[in-house]
Amino acid sequence: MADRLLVFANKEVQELLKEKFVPVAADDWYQRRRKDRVGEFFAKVVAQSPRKGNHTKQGHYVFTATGKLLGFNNNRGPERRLKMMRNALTAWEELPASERTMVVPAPGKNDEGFHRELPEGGQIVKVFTRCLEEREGRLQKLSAEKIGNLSAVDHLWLRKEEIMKLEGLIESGGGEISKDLSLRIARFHLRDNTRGEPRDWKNEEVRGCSFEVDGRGNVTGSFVIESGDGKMGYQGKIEGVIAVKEGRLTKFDILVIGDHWGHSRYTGGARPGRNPMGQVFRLSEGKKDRDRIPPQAIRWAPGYWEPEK
Amino acid sequence: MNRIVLFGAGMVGATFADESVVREILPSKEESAWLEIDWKTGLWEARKEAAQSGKPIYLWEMDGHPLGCV
Repeated sequence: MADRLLVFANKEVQELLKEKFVPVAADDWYQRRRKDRVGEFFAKVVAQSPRKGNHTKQGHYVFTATGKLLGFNNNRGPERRLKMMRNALTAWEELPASERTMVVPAPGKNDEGFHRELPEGGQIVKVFTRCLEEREGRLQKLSAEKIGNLSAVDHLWLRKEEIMKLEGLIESGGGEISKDLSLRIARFHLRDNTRGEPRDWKNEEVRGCSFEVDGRGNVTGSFVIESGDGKMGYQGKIEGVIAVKEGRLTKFDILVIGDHWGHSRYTGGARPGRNPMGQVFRLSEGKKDRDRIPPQAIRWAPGYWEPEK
Repeated sequence: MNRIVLFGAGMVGATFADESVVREILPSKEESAWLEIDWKTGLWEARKEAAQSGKPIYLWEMDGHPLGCV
């Protein structure tokens, strides 16, 4: 998140990226494991970098379409990144034309073990999460100097049949939202990802979770989620509106307000005790590449789609 | 938990009644500035575009997708 604010919001970095580079972002968890042409190409680039032989391949790389590495760093802050980018551009300009480009072949079959795509007819809901605090009698974002004051984003994926089921439920006058969808939301999306990657909740940690929609699309519900040792948890309410027309969601506006406590391995720095956290779920048209990023929790795909199992 | 937030107001198409808390949660303009860059998410597509446009590729690689995990 720091890179987003410190580096990629910097005007000079933005202009350089837009004009001189093809910018791409990827999840290393998938990419370093892929056994397909994409994975082979990435491995070729990494083998020329300081990440060669490391478990993680995280960092910022500049390279040609032919796979020649021109620059790498993993520092934060715009100055060092700009320096790396400019040096890489100089190296690029010194390359003979034959090394700058090539006819790129078809990518071939994706390694389905490490590649996720939205199922046909599925839809995307963006999930924004922010730690809150009560000031002046109302809930507000944390003040700027506090750790975890930024809004985090993840994506909830729904399958076509789940959307149709929701439509049928609303048309029939309402009722409880299916267990699979409720549990998917609870286990994989009601989490604090504002300081890093949170772990998924386990089924047995979802102590209570009841989400209902009425015949007008109004959603209400409450949830209690707590780790076995009680050190981490989230308790709150959801309310909002869902609208479905001819098998397509046209609205998915949900607000979650609750108290969160504790942290997991990669989300250290949580405030002590129980503290307010808010989440907004909003339907996305999925037009931009960045809208179609897989949910963080879908690394374990069968569990994401059928969380009861 | 004794905070009560009411919104939706029982109407499909209604906006949140408590828009202020929604605004607090959603990313601010400043926080969203990094999205002014049109990030691609497929390495192969980026490679093809780089070959066609005569530009090098800039890859932002993170454990957890840089554009959407946190």
